[in-house]
Amino acid sequence: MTSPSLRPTPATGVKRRLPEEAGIFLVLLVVVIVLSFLSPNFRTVSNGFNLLVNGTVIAFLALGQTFVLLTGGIDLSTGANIGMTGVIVALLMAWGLPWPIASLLGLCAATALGLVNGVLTHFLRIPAFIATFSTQGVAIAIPLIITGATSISVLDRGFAWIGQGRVLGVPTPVVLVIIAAVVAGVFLRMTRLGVHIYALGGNRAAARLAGVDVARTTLFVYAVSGFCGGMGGLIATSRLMVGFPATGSGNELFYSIAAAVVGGVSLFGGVGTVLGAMIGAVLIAAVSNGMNVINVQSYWQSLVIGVIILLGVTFDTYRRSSSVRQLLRRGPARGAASKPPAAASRNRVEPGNSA
Amino acid sequence: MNKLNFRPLLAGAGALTLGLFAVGGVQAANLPANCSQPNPTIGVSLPNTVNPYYIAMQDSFKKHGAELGYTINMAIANDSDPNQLSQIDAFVQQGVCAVVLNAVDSGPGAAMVKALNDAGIPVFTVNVIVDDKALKAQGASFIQYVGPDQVAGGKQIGDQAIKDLGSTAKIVAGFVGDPDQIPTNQRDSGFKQALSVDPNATVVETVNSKVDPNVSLQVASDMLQGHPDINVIWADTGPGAVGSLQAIQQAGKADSVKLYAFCAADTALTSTYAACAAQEPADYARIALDNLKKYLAGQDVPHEVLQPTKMFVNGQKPGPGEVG
Repeated sequence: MTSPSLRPTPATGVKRRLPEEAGIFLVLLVVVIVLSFLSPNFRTVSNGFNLLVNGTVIAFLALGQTFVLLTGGIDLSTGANIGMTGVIVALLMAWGLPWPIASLLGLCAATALGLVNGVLTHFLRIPAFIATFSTQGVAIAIPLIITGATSISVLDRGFAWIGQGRVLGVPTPVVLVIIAAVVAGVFLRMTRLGVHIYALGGNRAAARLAGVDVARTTLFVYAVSGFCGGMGGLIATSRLMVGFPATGSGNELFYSIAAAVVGGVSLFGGVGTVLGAMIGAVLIAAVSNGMNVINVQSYWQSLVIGVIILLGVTFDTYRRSSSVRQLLRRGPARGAASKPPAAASRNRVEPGNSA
Repeated sequence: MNKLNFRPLLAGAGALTLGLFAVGGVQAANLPANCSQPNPTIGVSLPNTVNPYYIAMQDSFKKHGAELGYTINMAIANDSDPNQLSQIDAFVQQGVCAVVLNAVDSGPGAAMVKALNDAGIPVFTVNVIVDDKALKAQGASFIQYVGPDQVAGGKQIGDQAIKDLGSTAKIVAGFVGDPDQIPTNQRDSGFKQALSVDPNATVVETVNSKVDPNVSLQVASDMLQGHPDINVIWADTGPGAVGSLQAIQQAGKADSVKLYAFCAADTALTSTYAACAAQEPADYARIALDNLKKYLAGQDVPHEVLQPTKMFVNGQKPGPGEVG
C-alpha cells in the first residue's frame, strides 16, 4: 500500500526493492514463531482470532493515527475518544434509540472531536501536541460528567454483533478492521487527497505552493482519526456491553502511536503505509497476548513490549538508513532523475523540514 | 577587672532555647487552630473520581461532613503520588484542622503522613493502608485506619468457592488481579488461603487487569486461551469482574468456568458469576469522620477499624454504593 509515486519501478532502471513493511513483518514472524514454540496454546486458530480481536481497538486507533502522522501531526485524544464514544452510545441506547442509530450518532460525536482537533491545529495554529492533549482532557471529562463515573449497561443484544459477532466465521471487529484498512490503503494510494496527505507531511510549504488545500487535508485527517477512535469505542463497548467512562485511558494511546511508528510511519510526516501500521498493531497484540498465554509475570510485560518496540524501530531505522546510503552512493543526479520529487522527500532522514 | 562568667549566661540561654523548643513541641502536639473554628476544615484526599468506589466515598464525606458541621476541602489526586503530595502540602498551607487520606499508593502515602505530622495536623487514613515500614523509616504515624478487611474479603469468597465446588474438587484457578497494589494483593492472599484447604486446587496464572474492564476482558481471554483447563477465575476488583465475565461468556465457557470476585457495580450474580464481595466506601467515610469528631473531642479512638465485606451469591445483586 505504498503511495504509487514513491515506489521505484523497473521502468526507471532502479532495482526493485523489498516492500518497506518487510522488516517489521519479519519481526512479527519471528515473534509468532518463538511464541508458538513456547506454547502450543498460542498457535491455535481460536487464539489467533482472540489476539486479533484484542488487537482491533489498537488497530483502529493506529489506522487513524497513521493519517494524522503522515501529515506531520499527532492525535493524543484518540484513546479518550474510546471512552467518550462508548458512554455516548450506551447512553443513547439506554434512552431507547436502536443500536445502529446510536452507533452512528456515537461515530458522529467521535468524528466531531477529530474535526475540533483539526480546527484547533489548522485555524488557530495550536501545535497538534497541545491541541489534542487539551481535547483529550475534554474527552476524558465528558463521560465522567455525564455519568458521574458510573458505568452504563447495554441491554440491546443486537449491539453485541459489532464486538462479539462473526462474519463467515471471522470475528466482526477483525472484519471491520480489514475493511477499514483496505479502504484507507487504497484511498491513500489511489486518490488525490491521499497523495496530498503524504505531500503535506513531506514538505508543508512546498505542498501549499503546489496547490494542496492544507485546511481541507488537515481537517480530513483529524476527522478520520476521530472516526477511528469512535470505531474503537464501539468495539470496546460492544465487547463489554457496558459503557465505561475510563475505558481507553490506559495504554491504548501509547500503543496506537507505537503500532504506527513500529510499522514504519514517521513521526515527522510524509513516510509510512497503512499496511505497516496494521502489522505494527498485530505485533503489539501478538506480544501482549503471547505473554499472557505463556504466563509471563505482569511486571515483565511492559519491559518486554518496550524492548520489542525498540528492537523493531531500530531494525527498521537501520534498514532505512542503509537504503539512503545506497541511494547516496548512486549519486544525487541519478537518484533525482530516477524518482519524482515526492520520492526524494520519502527517504529523507532529517526531521526538521516537515513543519 | 574580673572576667565575666559566661557559664550562667550560657546555661540560661540554653534553658531558654530548650524551653522555646519544648513550647513548640507542645503546640505541635495540640490541635491546629482551625479546629477551634465553628466549622473546622477537614481536608480529604482521594486518588480519583473515575472509579465509582471513590465517587461514593466522596459523596459520603461531603454529606456526613456537613451533618457534623465540618467544611470539607476535597482534593483529587488523579492517581498521581506527586499530585497527592502537593495537595497535602496545600492542606498544610491552608492550616486545616485534620486530614483524611486515601493514599494513591501505600508506600508514598508515608511521606504525606509525615508532612502532616510535621505540621501538627492529625491524619486519618481510609481504604488504602499506608505502608508500615515506610512510616517507621520516616518516623511518621497516623491516628486511625478505616477500611475493608481485604484479606478476610478474599477469604470469604474463597470459602464460598470451596463450598460451591467441594473441598477436594479439582480447582484450576486463574487470577485477574492488580499485582501492583497492596489491597488487591491482600485480597488475593485471602482467596489463596481459602483454597489451600483443597489439596487439588492450584493457581496457574495471574494477569494484570489494571482495574479496567476492557483490559481485563483482553487479559482474561488470553489467560483462558493459555490455560484451557481453568475452571475458576478470581477477579480482585469490580472492573476486573466486568471484563472477566465477558471473557468467560465470549469464550463459550459459561458452563465450565465460575467467576468469584470483588463485586462489579450493578451486576447480578448468576450460576457463572457465582459470588462476590462488596465494600461499602460510603460507610468508611462516615466511620472516619465520626471517629475524627471523637478524637477532636479528646476521646480515644482505635488505631484500626477493619470492616467486613458483604457477600452476594447467585440470584442476588449488590445495591447502590456496594462495589468492589
